[in-house]
Amino acid sequence: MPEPGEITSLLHRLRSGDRAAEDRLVEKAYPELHRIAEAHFRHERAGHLLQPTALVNEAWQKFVALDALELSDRVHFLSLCSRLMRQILVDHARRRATHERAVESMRIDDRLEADALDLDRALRRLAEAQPRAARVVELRYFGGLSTEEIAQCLDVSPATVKRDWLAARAWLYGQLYGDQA
Amino acid sequence: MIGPRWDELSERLAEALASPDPLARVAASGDPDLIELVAWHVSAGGFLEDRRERRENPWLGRKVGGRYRLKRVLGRGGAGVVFEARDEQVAERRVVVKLLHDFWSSEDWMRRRFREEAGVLTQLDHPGIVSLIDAGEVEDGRLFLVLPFHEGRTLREALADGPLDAAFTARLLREIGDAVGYAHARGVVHRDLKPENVLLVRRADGEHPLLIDFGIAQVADAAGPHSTTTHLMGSAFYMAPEHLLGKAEAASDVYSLGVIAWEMLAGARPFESATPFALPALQREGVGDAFYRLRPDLGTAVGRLLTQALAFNAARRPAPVTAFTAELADNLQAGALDSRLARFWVQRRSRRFMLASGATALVGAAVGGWWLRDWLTPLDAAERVIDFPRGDSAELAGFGITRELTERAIRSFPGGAVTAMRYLTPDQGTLYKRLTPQQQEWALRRGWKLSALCRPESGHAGVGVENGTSPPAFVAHLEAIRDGVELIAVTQVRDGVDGIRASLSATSAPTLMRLEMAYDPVSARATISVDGQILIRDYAGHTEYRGGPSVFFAVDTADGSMASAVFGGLHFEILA
Repeated sequence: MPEPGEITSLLHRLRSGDRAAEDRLVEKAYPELHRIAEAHFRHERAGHLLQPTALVNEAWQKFVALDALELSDRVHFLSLCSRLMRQILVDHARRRATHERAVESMRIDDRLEADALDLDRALRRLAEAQPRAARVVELRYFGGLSTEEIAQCLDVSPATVKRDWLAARAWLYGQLYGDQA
Repeated sequence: MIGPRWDELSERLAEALASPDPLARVAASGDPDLIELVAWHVSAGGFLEDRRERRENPWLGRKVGGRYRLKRVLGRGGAGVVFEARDEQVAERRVVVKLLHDFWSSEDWMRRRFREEAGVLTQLDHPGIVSLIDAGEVEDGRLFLVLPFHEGRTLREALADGPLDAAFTARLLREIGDAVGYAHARGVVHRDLKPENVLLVRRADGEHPLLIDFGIAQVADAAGPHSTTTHLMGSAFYMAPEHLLGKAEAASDVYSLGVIAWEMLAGARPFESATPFALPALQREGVGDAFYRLRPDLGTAVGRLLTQALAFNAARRPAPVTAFTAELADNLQAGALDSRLARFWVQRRSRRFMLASGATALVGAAVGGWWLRDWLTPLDAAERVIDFPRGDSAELAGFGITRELTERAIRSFPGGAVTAMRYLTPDQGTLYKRLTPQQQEWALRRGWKLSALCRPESGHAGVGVENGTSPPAFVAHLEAIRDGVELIAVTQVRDGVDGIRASLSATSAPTLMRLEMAYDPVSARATISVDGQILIRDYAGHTEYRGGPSVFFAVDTADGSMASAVFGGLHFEILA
């Protein structure tokens, strides 16, 4: 477990343009996020895809007290976590899919993996055409950031964040389920 | 769509969501990308939203406006939450608090609309219109409204038992007309009259209508993650053509009252369609003498008045609204002598029942002899049966599938034959085949049997027959519970599925169960069995499904998480 002070100083270095600090932050954050996520996968039979925000928040609380960092540090850190959390969920889904593809199981879990991968694919397509909107989804859905925090992180107005979120959510839903009609 | 138009479309989506009926608002634009985006938004339900936060609402127990303590959630929508609260400064009286989400509270147009609508309510002082107690802002800038809490049921709930008594309908319509007329005289158009927005308040001398939601509850219902297509459609069915195309006027309220009156008397609405886009075409076609054919006992004047109120051209509708409701009420009271027979007739249009109870002569006199000839027509076997063979997809079997439902094939082994289909939905989805008018008549008169192989994995897996008009829908659900499966003969779907329940012995094996339902037209009741064993008898159905006459499978979420069910075919047969 890293010291709160170390996270803060890494974030400060990151803000001043030190890319090595980001690698170091990922190195610190990833194992903890991964451990938390795996614990949830084991206990929550269904629904883990629906709760990445909770996972990131739990990780956050483990790293630092909520008010120990300045808002901008918190935003940067959560932004990083949201990206990692998305990766963890996708890796998990892929692994499961590989192991179990041969078995036509009648369990309910498999659909969640399929959805995680479908969502990832759709998000990649969105990111190619509308990188900002894809980032909004990542920060809000995988990172649990508020509208204001996302606006600050992306350096756009809160109104833009809201519009992007509404449109991206609708569009993603259409990609995942809209063709079934 | 995710190209150069992104910023424009996202802006127009946000604009559309500001209106009470986003789909109707964009339907007239003719912009397919925009319509699709709005439709996806409406269908998306709580997709990607944080469900945990919604369940543990942080506002419960808190006080707003320094005096209203929030006690329980009455309803919620994309734009806000409606709470029951206690006014701690006035004898702990019960009040209703509507709180706008912070997501919307920072939007100027939404704040403006919220305040405008509060302003409308303060102008209106009428016993048939809900009054405004208080309005304000909480610390973080969210707006709230405080309204009186009334014990009662909504007109929608009253309609669950089928058509209402003509004299009762007459009194309610007269009083609703007075309230709407009062608002019109002050330049206020309600715009969203529907049975959900008419509260029947119980007083010493009986139930009295109270108009709620002069646009305000739309804040809770309008635009959001929770409003569903059906919810939206609930409003659209009552909207006049000019309103669906974007512009409401006083005559639009007359139209809505015409639809409501029709439903109160006939037990079903004059128009049903799968999407709001199809409604204007049906409205243009008109209702002809359909009402008279449904309720000949009420005489020609009632049918004529309703036909006028439903005129496509707003200028041809009766005006003012009070003149329409008063004349309608007068004619209903004149015809009220026959209403019990007529209600009986509309509720149980089962000819066999009529014959058995010796009511033939009375009913024959009321509706003419055509039905007797119809009764003698031999049935074509191909028309009696609707099949969804095991392993077929919805497409192969010719079933419609709602967009909320995803279909995935299950194979006996990789690359092997398809043995069943798994259906997934984050909300509620249906596979359906419409009944022709002929099939509908036969099914009601001669009875039917429905069987399906299915297994719920999460949430509900259901099958059912919707009779279409006043006889109710019959729906059997299997619900996945912790230790097995429960059978439910559904009597209610609002605020959670409920009905007659029966437990099945615990089974962990992934087997499909044979769910069967048989409808007896003499008693107008159904029996339900699982794997050959009858578990529920005397099931009288329910009246909430109004998707038009059809045979269907449905998958429903039980708790907001993904619902999943496996179906291995369905067979429906009208008895010869």
